[in-house]
Amino acid sequence: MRSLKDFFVYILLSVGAMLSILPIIWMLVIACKQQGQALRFEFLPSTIGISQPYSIKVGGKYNTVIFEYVNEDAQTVFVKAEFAGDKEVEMLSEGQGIFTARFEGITAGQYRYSFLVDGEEVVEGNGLIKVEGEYSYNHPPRNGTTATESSITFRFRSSRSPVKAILSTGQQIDLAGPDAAGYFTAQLNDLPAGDYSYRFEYARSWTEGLAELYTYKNFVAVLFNKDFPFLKFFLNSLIVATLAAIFTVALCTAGGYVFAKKNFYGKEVLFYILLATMLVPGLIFMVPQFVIVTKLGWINTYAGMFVPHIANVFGLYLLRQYMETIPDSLFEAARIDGATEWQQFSVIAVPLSMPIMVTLFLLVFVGQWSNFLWQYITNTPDSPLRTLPVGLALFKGQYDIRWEQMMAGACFSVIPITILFLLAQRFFIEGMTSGGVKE
Amino acid sequence: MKFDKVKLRESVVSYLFLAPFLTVFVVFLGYPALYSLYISFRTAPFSADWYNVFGSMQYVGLANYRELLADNRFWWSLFCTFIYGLVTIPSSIALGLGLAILLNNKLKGRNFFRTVFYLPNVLDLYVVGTIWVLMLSPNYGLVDVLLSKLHIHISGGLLGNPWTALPTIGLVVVLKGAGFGMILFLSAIQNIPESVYEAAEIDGATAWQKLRYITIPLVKPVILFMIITGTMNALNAFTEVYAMASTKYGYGGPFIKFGNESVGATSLSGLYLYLIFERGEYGKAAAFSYLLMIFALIISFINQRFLRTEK
Repeated sequence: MRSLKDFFVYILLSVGAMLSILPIIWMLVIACKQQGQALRFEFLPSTIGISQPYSIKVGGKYNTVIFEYVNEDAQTVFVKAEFAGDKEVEMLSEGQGIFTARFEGITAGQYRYSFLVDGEEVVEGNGLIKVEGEYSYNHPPRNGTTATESSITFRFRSSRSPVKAILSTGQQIDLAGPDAAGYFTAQLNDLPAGDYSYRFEYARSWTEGLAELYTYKNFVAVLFNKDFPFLKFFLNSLIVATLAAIFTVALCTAGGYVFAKKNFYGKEVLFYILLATMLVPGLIFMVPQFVIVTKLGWINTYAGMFVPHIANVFGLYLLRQYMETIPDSLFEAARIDGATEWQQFSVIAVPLSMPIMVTLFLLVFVGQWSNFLWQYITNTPDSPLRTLPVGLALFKGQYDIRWEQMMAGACFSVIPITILFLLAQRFFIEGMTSGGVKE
Repeated sequence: MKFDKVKLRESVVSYLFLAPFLTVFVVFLGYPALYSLYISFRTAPFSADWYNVFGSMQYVGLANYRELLADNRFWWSLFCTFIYGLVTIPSSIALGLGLAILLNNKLKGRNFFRTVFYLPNVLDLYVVGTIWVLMLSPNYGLVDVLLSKLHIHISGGLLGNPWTALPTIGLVVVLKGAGFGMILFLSAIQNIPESVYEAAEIDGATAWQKLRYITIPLVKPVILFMIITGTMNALNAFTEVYAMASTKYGYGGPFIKFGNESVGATSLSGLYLYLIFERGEYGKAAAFSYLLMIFALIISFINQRFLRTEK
């Protein structure tokens, strides 16, 4: 009975725990995905590769050559072909490092060609392309599929068998091979003239499938992006959050101490005024705070980002509640021994309140780390002091959303705080429920 | 007389200790609250010098308040905020209490679960919101794929549909904040003496009766605290909508008809206030803030009354 109940409790808790950390897992997965894969619901690498679609004309009038160049690191690729008068023609990027260029109306013959990859000349094989017959299509060097008046000869280079060609009409053909050069070939006859598109399906290793889906390059791209210096944003966030936490803890500890242990004029009234501001929507302060920060010349400064928030009433309340549990007798004893007011505070109150001070430090740090709106309005869009959330928001607005890179950026925001939390989770959880100091 | 001397000395010392806190408080909280009130009666003319917009503001009396009260979008934003509170507050109380009850059992790995449930609390709301946008995106997002496996199709996706956008954002926020409620309830439940439950068990109380007649009444202060903070959060809600409202339709989320106007289905008051602020209508934004404060005070007053009569 008892173990059955425990079992259900565990199931419930595990499901909840999964749901609770699902966003983090999802973020990590997407951050590792290849460009353009974020919105595809594909996570397990497949051992069957599918090529991109190619088009071909059966019974066409002109010889057409389609050059294809594959290099993932290339930025711009030009092709220089003899039949095009050796002019440099820029090739179209089709993503995933595939560049293509198409030439039509070429007389049969043998021609020289070369690629210019980011300004560097690349010659493949003997640097020659053979354009055969009146109707051929050529895709050097990887893919040499050709068409005649009524047939297509498929050619595909692969390291593994089987290779299959699938035509847009639904026809399929297995390619035979490989030949000495590593090509698989097959001929499909009796095709009516017209435009066709086809793709290849080929066997590949599991790691090739993995590489098609995942990459580490998003992290590199985010870290070394010229327009969005994430390392700098990260450092800014760190500085702002740390300064805010230190100052808040200092102010709240001093304030909480007197509210807990001193009897002074106006104590009750002051405390209720302070607490009342907790009830007021925070946005009410935003406009005037912005005015003050502007007047002080604190736009685009660290001070402007954190100083307005260091008088934290919640923190003061937290410290007061905790310090009230410190026995008065300790202070009396210290007073009898001749301790000054400052000594009573720094030697008794502060050391005994360390746990709650750490808790407050962490709460403020975390709050400031993700404080978005205020840091957004106190920084102009070109400010060098932008913090991570602001940087991320601009990252989203600036371009078409590049989800993979954005998630990689998000990792830099989430992972440090997660590690901090895991290291200090005792203070987060126990701090807020703590029973205080025992005599 | 002697007592007063002691108190006077203590007062001097106390205010010295309080000086840094009070200075920052007065400059950045006290003065702004009053200044906000001041500019809520003023407005900047169209010809205003935008580098000295606050200096060129002119007194307009209650015009800002009147304009807002006559603005359909203002009322709509309050309605959205009300719905948002209605979604988030009860569900975060239920979730927090549920987790606290589950984790109050003496289980192995209890601390592990507490840590995991609290973790989302420390994460950036903007970032978490953005991740959820990805998970909720139509056709490809995890949630949408799972829903279509169950043959549930929501046009535009959960965030793009005017009927589901706001509750979805609310639930994401509830899920993220569940750990905080859990901790508060947990500390309250742990303060309930075991003997109360034992006595109930002897009297043959069921688990439901123990929850209804022992646990819930004894954690009522936490429930009320969560209602008040939940109200504040709903009135202040901005980041979550900014991050998650469908950017396809601007920041207010998918459009819905309200009166003769098209309004954003997720246009919460915090977001609408921000949009007014962004347009440079600082006087109106301040008036908006004060109207929100009045609502907040009314709500917390009702809550306080509720607390008092129940005690």
